Amino acid sequence: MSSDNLRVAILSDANLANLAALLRRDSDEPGISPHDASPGSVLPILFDDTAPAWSPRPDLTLVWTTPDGVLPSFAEALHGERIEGSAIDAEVDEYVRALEGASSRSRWTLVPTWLPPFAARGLGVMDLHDPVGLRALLLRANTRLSTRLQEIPGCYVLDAQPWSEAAGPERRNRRLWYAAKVPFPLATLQAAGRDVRAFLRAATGKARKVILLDLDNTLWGGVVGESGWRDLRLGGHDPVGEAFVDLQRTLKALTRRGIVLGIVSKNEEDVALEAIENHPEMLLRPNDFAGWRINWSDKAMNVSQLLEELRLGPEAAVFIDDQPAERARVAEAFPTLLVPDWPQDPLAAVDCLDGLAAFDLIQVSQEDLNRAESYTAERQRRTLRNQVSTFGDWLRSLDVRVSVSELSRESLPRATQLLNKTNQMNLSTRRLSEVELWDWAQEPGRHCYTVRVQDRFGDFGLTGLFSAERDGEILRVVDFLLSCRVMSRRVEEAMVAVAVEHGRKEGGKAVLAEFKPTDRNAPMFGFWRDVSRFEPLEEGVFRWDTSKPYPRPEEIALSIATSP
Amino acid sequence: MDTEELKSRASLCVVGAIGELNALRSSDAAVSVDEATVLLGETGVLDSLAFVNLAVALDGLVEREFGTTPGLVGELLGHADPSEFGTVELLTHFVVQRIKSVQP
Repeated sequence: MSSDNLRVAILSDANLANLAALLRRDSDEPGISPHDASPGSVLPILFDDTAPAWSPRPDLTLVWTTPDGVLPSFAEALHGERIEGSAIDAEVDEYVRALEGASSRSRWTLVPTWLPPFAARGLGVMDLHDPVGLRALLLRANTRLSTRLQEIPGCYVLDAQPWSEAAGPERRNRRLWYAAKVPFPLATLQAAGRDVRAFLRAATGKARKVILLDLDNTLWGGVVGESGWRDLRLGGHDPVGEAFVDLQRTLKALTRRGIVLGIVSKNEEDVALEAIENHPEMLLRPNDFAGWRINWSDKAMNVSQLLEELRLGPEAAVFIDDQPAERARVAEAFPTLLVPDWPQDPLAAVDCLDGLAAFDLIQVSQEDLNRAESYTAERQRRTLRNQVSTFGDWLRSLDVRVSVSELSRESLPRATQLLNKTNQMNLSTRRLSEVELWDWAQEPGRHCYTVRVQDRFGDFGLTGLFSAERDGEILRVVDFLLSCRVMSRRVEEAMVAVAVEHGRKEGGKAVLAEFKPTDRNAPMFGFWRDVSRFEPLEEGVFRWDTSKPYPRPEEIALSIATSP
Repeated sequence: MDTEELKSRASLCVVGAIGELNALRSSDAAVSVDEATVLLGETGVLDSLAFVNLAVALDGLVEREFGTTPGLVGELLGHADPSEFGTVELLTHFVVQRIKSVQP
C-alpha cells in the first residue's frame, strides 16, 4: 500500500463518483484520497475560493466537464442551432479564466479535453468539414482550451479521447447517464484513472527512470549465442521481426526524453555486443545503453550492480524479460522494482510497454533530452577513474566546474522538476509546484539557488538546488538536493560552501540543516553525517558555526553567478 | 432452452455483473455472489449508485449472453417493488423472467 495520501478534488458537471471510487480503491503508487464534489455547475466553484472543494487544500484538482455543460453555445449547437466559432472561443476563454483563478488553490490542475456527447452526429458526414459542425466546434474548443491552459503554471490538459476509445462501443452506452448522470462507462474511467495516477507519479518524482532489458526473445527474436547475430529475427519481411524493431523504436523514443536503458542478459558479452553493434536492423546501439551486465550470473545480482552503477534505486526501474522465472526472481529480490508480465507474443510487446504508463513526465527539460548521452560520458569517466590513482586526481582530471545561480524564471521549470523528482540525495524531500517554489523564494529572507555541473566529458545541466531562509541569527537550509548523477564528486561540499558563505554574508551565526528521512534518502543523511563536517546536534540536525569559513573543495572550480 | 439452462446462464450474468461492480470497490467491501446476499433494503450491501452500476453491467452482459435487450435497467431502476430482486437469488430469478418475457 502506498505511503502517500494525495488529495484529489474532482469537479464535474456530471456524476464522477465511480472515478473517485476507482482512484480510492487502487493500491498503486501514489496513494490517492479523492474528494468528489457533488455534480453541478463547475464555474461557480472555480470562482469561489470559499467553496468546500478547496478545504482542505487539494494537491490536485481534476476539472472534467461536459462541453455542453460549460459552453452554452455548444449546448445550442446540440439542438441544431448554427453557432459561430467565435462564440465558442469566447466561452472557452471564460472557462480558462475561471481555471486560471482556481489554479493557485491546488498544486496541480488537470483538465481533460471535452468528449463528444452521445448525440453528436451533428451534420453527419459534413460535421468536421463545416465550421459549425459539432465535431468542428468541439475540435476548435479543445484546441483553444489546450493552447490557453498551457500558459497557466501548474495547469495541464489531458487527452480524454483515448479514455473514450478504451471503452469500445460501450462508450456510447447511455444507460448510466439516464440512470445516474454517469457520463462514462467503467473502461473509460479506468483509463482516466490510470492517467491521473501516471500524472501524479510524474509530478511527485515516482515515474520510472530506467528500463533494464533482457536480450534474447525480448529485444530480438532468437538466441544469439546459438544462432549468431545474422540469424536473429529482427526486421525484415517477418511480422515478429518487425515487432521487435517496433519495440526498439519505442524504447529509443523513450531515451530521447530522458529514460535510461540498461541490459541484463545471460549471454556471452562479446557475442551480444557484436549483435548490437552489427545487426543492420538494430535501432538500439551500444551508446543507447547506459550500462549492461551481460554474463551468466544471477540476474537479481546483476540488476543490483547495474542500478548501483547508474545510481538509481529499484523503485526507479522496470525490468523486462521474456522468461517468467527470471522475472519472478527479480521481482522477489526487489519488491519496489516494476516487473511487468511480459507477453510471450512479441507482437504484443509495444502495447504492453505503453500500457505501463510508468515513464510519464510533466515537463521535458534539456537535461532529460541529454540523459542518454550523459550516461555514455559516465562510462568514459569510469574508465578514467581506473587510470588515475586517487579520487582527488580523478576529480582534477575531470575538470569539474560547478556554477551556482539564484533561481530565475528561466531555470524555474527545471528546478521544479528536480525538486519533485529527486529522492536519494534530498535533505527534506519538499515537493512544490512551479508557482509555489517561485512564491516561496520571493519572500524576504529566503533564497533559492540552482547548481549546474560540467566536466570535460559533458554538461550535466541543472542538477542541484538548495534553498535557505533566515530565522533570527540562524540560516536554515530548507532544500538541499542533487541529482544522483553528480553525487559524490564534492559538488555537495561546494553547495554547502556557498550556503555557509551566504550565511556569513547575511550576518547569521550558524547554518542549520535538518534531515527529514524518507524511505529513499539515506544517501543524503550519509553525506551530512560523514562528509559535511557539520556538527551533529539532535537526531538529523547538523550545524556549522559561521565564524569559521567552510572550505571550498579544491579539486573543482566553483563559480557563483549571483553573489549571495 | 430449458429453464435450468436459462437460469444457469442468467446466474453467470449476475455473477459477472457483480464482478464488474467489485472493480469499483475495495476488497473488503466486495459484494459476495452468494445467492443469499442481500443487495437492497436496510441490510443491503448496495447504495443507489452501486445498484445502478450493477444494473447497467447486468444489462450489458445479458445482451451479450442472450442476444436480446430485455430492458433490465429501465425495469430494475423504475420497478415499483425492489423486494422482487433484493437478493442475488431473486435478482437471478428476475432476469430469467425478463428474458422469458422477451424471447419467443
